[in-house]
Amino acid sequence: VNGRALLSFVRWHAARMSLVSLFGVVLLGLVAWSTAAAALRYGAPLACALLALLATCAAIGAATWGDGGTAPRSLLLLSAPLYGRQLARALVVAPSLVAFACALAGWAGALAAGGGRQPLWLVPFLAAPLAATVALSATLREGARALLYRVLALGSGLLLAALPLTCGTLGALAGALALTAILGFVALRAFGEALARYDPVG
Amino acid sequence: VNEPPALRVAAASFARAGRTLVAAFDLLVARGERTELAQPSTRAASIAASMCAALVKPSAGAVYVADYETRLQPAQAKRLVAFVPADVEAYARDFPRALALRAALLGVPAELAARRAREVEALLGHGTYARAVALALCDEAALIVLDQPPPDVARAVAALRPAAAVLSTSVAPARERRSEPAPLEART
Repeated sequence: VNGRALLSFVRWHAARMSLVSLFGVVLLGLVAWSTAAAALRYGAPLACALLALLATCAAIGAATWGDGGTAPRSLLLLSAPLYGRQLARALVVAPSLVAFACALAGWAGALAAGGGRQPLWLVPFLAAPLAATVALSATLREGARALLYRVLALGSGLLLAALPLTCGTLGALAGALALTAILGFVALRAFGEALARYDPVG
Repeated sequence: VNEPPALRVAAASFARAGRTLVAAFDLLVARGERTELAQPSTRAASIAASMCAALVKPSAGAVYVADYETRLQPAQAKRLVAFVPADVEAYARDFPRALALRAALLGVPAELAARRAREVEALLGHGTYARAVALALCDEAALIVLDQPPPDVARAVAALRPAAAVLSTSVAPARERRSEPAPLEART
């Protein structure tokens, strides 16, 4: 999937978002802004952890809620000459961007409150694509199995959110990077394989 | 030159949860040929069309688009297929962006895709079905699969793309009805 296709992909994906979804994104951004700014009083690690959780929720919502959640099952995509892994990589971009926007809003809130200058603030930005990647697998499942993937996505976010609270700055960053790389790779591969196996008969 | 048929179905069937949804059938569609495949129900027709378009893998037997077996080489097979589903509302939703996306995925220049879409709309009108066909036909496909199209659409599409094989599904008790290729004067 080249740059032009990826850009078209994000535009098409974004156009599927309803006004309610857009309102949700803006609201979540405002919540992230105020939460990060307020939590700074209790220290940067707590603020980072809360922001990572908010980014995780944004990623799960953007990946699985409403029309965004039906995108992976769209015949327009399934009929395209792409392998599952290529489709999976392209599908991760839009929900990750939404979650990134949430993390960015929170970080901006922290900067405005006089904090946000430590490298620890990278953790929420790592939690966003990881949660989106794990949550996307829910879109190809129904019922309890779909719920399981949402819970797994939340668990991955919790895991990353716990790092700033339990490790030092370097440990948290290294742990977050390692977890995102390993879990993200496994989740992306699993989603790609699920897409390759998926048939629209249901 | 020995050109492979656009579509070859060898005893392909589809079953789900132990229930046969599409009985085994054989089919050979050469390039430039228009064929109608009848199935006993709308669901069976949709599944058969999806199997021929490399969207659904057969439970038994094999489907070949040109030389590509759809179970083993789905991406290569899909590259040669233009598929128009029966439910065109969802498929053709947000048409301009969908067309831009499909053109980008197929590596077709945006202007060329827009021109081809205008050609289709000039032929079929500006309804949702025409937009769905325009989406599917934004590239030069060797095989065009129409799932339960409205009357006369398959003939119009065959006239628009005379070099391609056109397969349409329908609901009828008959197993398969093969029609003659579109006359040359109708193809231009």
